[in-house]
Amino acid sequence: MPASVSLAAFAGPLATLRWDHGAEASVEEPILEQARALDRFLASIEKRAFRMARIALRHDEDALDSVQDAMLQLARRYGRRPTEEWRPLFYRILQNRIRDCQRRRRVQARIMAWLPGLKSQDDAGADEYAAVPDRAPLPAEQLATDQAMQALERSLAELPGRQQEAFMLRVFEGMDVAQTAAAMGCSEGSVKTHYSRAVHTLREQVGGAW
Amino acid sequence: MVSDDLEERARALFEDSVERLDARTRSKLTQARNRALDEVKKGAARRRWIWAPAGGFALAAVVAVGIVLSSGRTSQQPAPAALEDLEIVSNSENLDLLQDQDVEFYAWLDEQ
Repeated sequence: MPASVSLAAFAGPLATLRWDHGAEASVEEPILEQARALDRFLASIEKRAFRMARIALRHDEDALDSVQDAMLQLARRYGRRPTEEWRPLFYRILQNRIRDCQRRRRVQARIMAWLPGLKSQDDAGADEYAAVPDRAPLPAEQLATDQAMQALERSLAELPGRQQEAFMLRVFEGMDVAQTAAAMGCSEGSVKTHYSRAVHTLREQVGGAW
Repeated sequence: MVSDDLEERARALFEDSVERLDARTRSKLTQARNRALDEVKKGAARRRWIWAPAGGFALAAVVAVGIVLSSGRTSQQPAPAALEDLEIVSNSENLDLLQDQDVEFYAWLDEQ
């Protein structure tokens, strides 16, 4: 007996699969809202994130690359997470990028030590604007501030990585102990230990000058 | 307390350095932010692309199963008519007609 097909036999299942083109417009709004929220968040932290990466890496382009990578990773992998999770997630990603960069440099430094004839990677990343003199001399007060910041940066750069992270997240980013622990991926006790050691070292090195 | 003074001073110096970031760096950061936002929109477009045809394929699967079940044949080889029907309903262009029509109408028609 030949097969007989009755569309009505599938009316029930088909009805549940009816395509609602009107729903497409309502799907767009949450996506736009997510993009707006992410824009606001990244705009609020990008400059501080860059300065922190710059202190850790001592190189403008590496710091910019690290921040950009962290922004892209946050958007791609965690953009749909609750907004209150973005800050610790972003800084966790950023710190991972910074450590990756530092690891690459150590490997390159070892290679350069064996092959001194090769051009150093640092030369390629030199800021072409660094040699351009400022047009106007800085006021004395601003000069003093710059020098104090440079001293702080040097001391911070010499700290062990975890102490540096704990100090910058607590002091520069204003995170509490719990938030810092989430960003660093460690316990609150570890954060307190790293932080207190960082403060002790910095007080000895720069505290007296201030 | 000495450490509080250190923290306050360090924070003030840091905030000052942030405010005085040069225009080139600010511009690069804005570009990086815009690239990240593009990822959000691309991700949303990818999800729509994946789920839109999935609805059509699901519809075709339901109809195909119905054809097989309603054929009443015990043989493993489907009847030629059933195969032709399967080809018809798996064609996405024909599915648009099905999706736009009132399926309750067809249910009523079949009862007549």
